[in-house]
Amino acid sequence: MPVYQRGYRNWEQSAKRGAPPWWAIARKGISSPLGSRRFMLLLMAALVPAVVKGGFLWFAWKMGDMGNLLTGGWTDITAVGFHHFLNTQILFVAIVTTLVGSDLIAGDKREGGLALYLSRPLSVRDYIFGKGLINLFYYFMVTLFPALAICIFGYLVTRGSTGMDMLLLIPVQTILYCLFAGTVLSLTLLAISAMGTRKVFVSLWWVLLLLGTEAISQVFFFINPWLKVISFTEMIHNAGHIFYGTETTILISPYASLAIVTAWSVGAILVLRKKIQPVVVVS
Amino acid sequence: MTQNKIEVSGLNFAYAVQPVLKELSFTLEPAAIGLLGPNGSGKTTLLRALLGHLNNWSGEISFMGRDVSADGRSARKQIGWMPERGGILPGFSGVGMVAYLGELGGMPASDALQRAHEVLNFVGLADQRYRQADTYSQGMGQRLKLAQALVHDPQWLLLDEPTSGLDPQGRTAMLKLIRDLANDHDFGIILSTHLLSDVREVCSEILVLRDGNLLQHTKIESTAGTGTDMFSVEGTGETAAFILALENAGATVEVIKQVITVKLDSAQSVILQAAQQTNFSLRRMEPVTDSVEDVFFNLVDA
Amino acid sequence: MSAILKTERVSKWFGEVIAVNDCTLNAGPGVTGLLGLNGAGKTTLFKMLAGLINPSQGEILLFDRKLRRDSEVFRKVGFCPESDALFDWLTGYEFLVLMLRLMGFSGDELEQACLDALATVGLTDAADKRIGSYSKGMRQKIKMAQALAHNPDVILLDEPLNGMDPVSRRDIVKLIEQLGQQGKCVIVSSHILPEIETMTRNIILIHNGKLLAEGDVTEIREAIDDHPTVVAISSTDNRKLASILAAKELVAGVEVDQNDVIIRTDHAAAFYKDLPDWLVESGLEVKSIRTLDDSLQAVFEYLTGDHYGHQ
Repeated sequence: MPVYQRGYRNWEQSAKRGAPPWWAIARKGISSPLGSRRFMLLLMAALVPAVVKGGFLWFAWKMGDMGNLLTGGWTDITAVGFHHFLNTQILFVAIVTTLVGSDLIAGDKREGGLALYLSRPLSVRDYIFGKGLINLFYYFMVTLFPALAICIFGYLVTRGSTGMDMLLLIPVQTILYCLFAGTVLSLTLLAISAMGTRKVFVSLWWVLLLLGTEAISQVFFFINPWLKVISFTEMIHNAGHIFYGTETTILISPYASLAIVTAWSVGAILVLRKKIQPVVVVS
Repeated sequence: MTQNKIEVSGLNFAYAVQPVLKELSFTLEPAAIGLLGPNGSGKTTLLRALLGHLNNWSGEISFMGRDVSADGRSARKQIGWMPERGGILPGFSGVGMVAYLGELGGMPASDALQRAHEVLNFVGLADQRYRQADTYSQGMGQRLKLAQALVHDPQWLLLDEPTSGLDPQGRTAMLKLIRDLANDHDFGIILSTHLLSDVREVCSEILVLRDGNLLQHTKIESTAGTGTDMFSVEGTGETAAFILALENAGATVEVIKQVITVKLDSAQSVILQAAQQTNFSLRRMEPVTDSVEDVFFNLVDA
Repeated sequence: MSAILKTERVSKWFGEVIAVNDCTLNAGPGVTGLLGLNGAGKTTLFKMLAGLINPSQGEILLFDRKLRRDSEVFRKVGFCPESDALFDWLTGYEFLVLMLRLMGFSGDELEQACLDALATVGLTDAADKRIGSYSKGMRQKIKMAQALAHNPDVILLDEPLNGMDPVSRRDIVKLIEQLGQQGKCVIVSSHILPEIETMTRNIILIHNGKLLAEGDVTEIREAIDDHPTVVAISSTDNRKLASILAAKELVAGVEVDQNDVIIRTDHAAAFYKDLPDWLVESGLEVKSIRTLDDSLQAVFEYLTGDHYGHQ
C-alpha cells in the first residue's frame, strides 16, 4: 500500500499535448461573454436583419417577377446586396465588439495581468493573435455567419435556381471580405484597448471611430465629397468592392480605400508593438 | 543537477540613459537565494531580465542551459514568477485563473485544471478556490499568486516581495510554504525582499545588489561554528556579579540591552561556571555568527 | 513605570461591527509594540489614541487629562497613520509647514521645526521635491516627520516600516529606539515581529478587538501555562546529556535530534536557575543553549491560538 507524498507534488504530464497559448487565450475570451444572458439576447437581436432578409428572399421567390420590386438595397440577393447587408450590420458590430473587446488589453494593463501573461512561455505575437481572434469571432458572429446562413437558405428556398452564385461565389466573396474587414477592425480595436486602461475611454474612442467618423463625413460630404476619406467604416466598405467585384458609389477608388485601410492596420500593429511590453518604463 | 543552473554574465541594462544593471555576472545553483538591496538597486529589474522581459540589454543569460535572448519561451516554461504588484486577472475564479495560466504555460486543459486544484490546496486556498479572484484579501491574493507560479511545475521560482502586506500569521504561513518548496522539492528560489528576517528564515544564500552592481553572492552560515570566540548570553539574575565573574575568568564582556556578549576562546565552560557561582539563570548561550543583517549592512555601508 | 497614556475600558463600534472591545491599557515612557492580525482592531485603537475618533465607550487619558476635551493635550500626540493618502502636489517641506501651521506654529520656530524633522528622518535632500515623486519608503518617512515635528510626548506609529527598504528600516528602527530612550511614549505596530523584537520587549497584543496580553515578552511567555517551554541544548555527547536531564524533576520531556537535546519544562524559571549546576556537574562540554519558543513570534502564535507554520 503506497503512501504518497503529502504537500507539494510534481506534475506528471498526461500523454496529451497542450494547445498553443493563443488558442487558450482565444477560447477563454470567446467563451466568457457567452455566460451572460443579456449578451446572448443581444447576439439574437443581431440576427434579426438576417432573418428579415431571408424572409424577403423567400417572398420574392414566391412572387416571381413581382418580387424584384420588393428587393433592392440590403435585401438584394446579389453580391451588391450582401455587401450592403454586411455594412448595415455595423451598429451591431459596434455594440458587440465594444462589449467584448474594449477591455481585452486595457483590463490586463490595469490589473498588471499583462506581465503575468508574458511571464508564461508565450510571445507577444501569441498574445495579440489570441486576443485578436476573440474580436474576429464576434465580428463574424454578427456578419459572416448570418450572411452564410442566408446563402444556404437562399439556395435551398430557390431550389438551386440561383445557381452557383449563391452557393459558391458569394460565400467565398463574403468570407474573404469579412476576413479582411474583421482583421482590420480587430487590430484597430486591440490597438485602442492597448492605449488605455479604462474601459469607458476605450469604448468611447472605438464607437467614435466606428460610427462617429462616418457621421462626421456625412456632414462634410456636402462641402466636399472627397471627405468621405475620413470615415473608417466607409473606407472598409469601399475597399470591399474589390472583393465583390462591384462598382463603387463614391469618388474614391476602392484601391485607394484599400491602401488607406491597410495603413490603418499597419498603424494599429505599430501601436500594439509599442504598447504591449512586459516592462513599463517609468521615468 | 548542474543543468538547472542560471548563469548570468556581463548583464547590462539601462532605462533610457539611466543604467539599472551594471555588468552583473553570477551563477546560481538551485537553492533558496535571497535577493537583497536598497531601493533602486535593480532587484525587480533583474527578475524581469531572467524572464526575458527586458529590451536592449546586453550580456548573456543562460537559464538551465537555454539562452534567454534566443529562446525565452522555453526558459519561461521552467520559471514560476510571483510579481509584487498586480498579478490577479480580472473576471476569473481562483481556480479558473490558475488553470488558465497553466494552459498558457502549455499544459493540456484537463491537466491544468487538475494541477490548479492541487496547487491551490497546497497553498491553503482550497476553501476559496471558486470565489472571484479579484475579491480576495491581500493574504489570499499572495497565496493565489504563489499558486499560479507553481501550476506548471517549474524548476525555478522568482518571488518578488512574497510577504508584502501579510500579517504575522500570513507571513509565517507563506514562509513555511517557501521553505517546504526549497527544502523538499529542489526548487531553485530567488526571493527578492526588503525583509532581512524573511531571508534569514528561508534562504541559504544571498545575492546583494546596490545601484545595479553585484556586491556579493554568498552562502549564509547556518551551522554554529565551533571555532568562534564570541558568544551571546541572555538570562536573569545578578547580572553585575555574573559579568564580574566572567571578567575575572579573563573574558571581555559587552552588554547591549539585555544581551551579554562574551569574547573568549571556548568560553562555554567559563560561562556555565560563572552562572553557577553567581546563581544566574541562563536562558541562552550561543556562538555569535555573521547574521544576514551583518553581512548585508557591512556590504551596503561600505 | 508611570503611565503616560491610559485607556479605561475603551470600546468602539461601527454599526454592528465591534473593532475594539473593552480595552484597558497603560503605556509608559519607552517603546511599546502594538501587535495583532489584520482586522484585529489596531488601526481603530491608534485612531482613538490619536484623538481622531471618539470611543463609543470608555475614556482615554493622557497625563491624566481627557484627550478629546483638551486641545493642549491633543498637541502632545504625534500620529503616523497607516494609510498612504498624502498631498502629492506639495513638496515635503511645504507639507510639514502646513501641518505645523495647523498645530499653531509660526515664524522661525516653524521653519526650524520643519528642518529638524526632515533631518531626523533623513529627508533633507528631498525636502523640495513633490511628495508625488517620493518612493514608498520616503512617503513613510515624511509621515513620520509630520508625527515628530511638533515634538510630542506621545508618538503613535501605525506600520511605519511598511514598504521601506532594509537601509531605511534600520535607520527608522534606530530613530524609534532613540525616541524611546528620550522618555517619549512610543507605540509602534508592525507585522514583522523580529523587527519589533529589536526595538522593544514590551508589547500590547490585541486579537479580535480584545486586549490579549500586555507587558514584557518573556514575562508573558512565562505566564502562558498551557505550552511548556522548549529549550535546545547542544553538547559533545547529547545522549548522555539527555539521560542526565531526563532524571531531573523539573524536566517534563527530553528528545534527541540531530544537533540538540530538546527539553520541555513547565517550570521555566526554576529550570533555568538549576541548569548551570546540572551542566557543570555533568562534565560535558556544552556548545549552546537556546530557548526555542520565547521569541515574539512563538508568543504571538501561542496567544492567537494558531500553530500555523510551526514545525
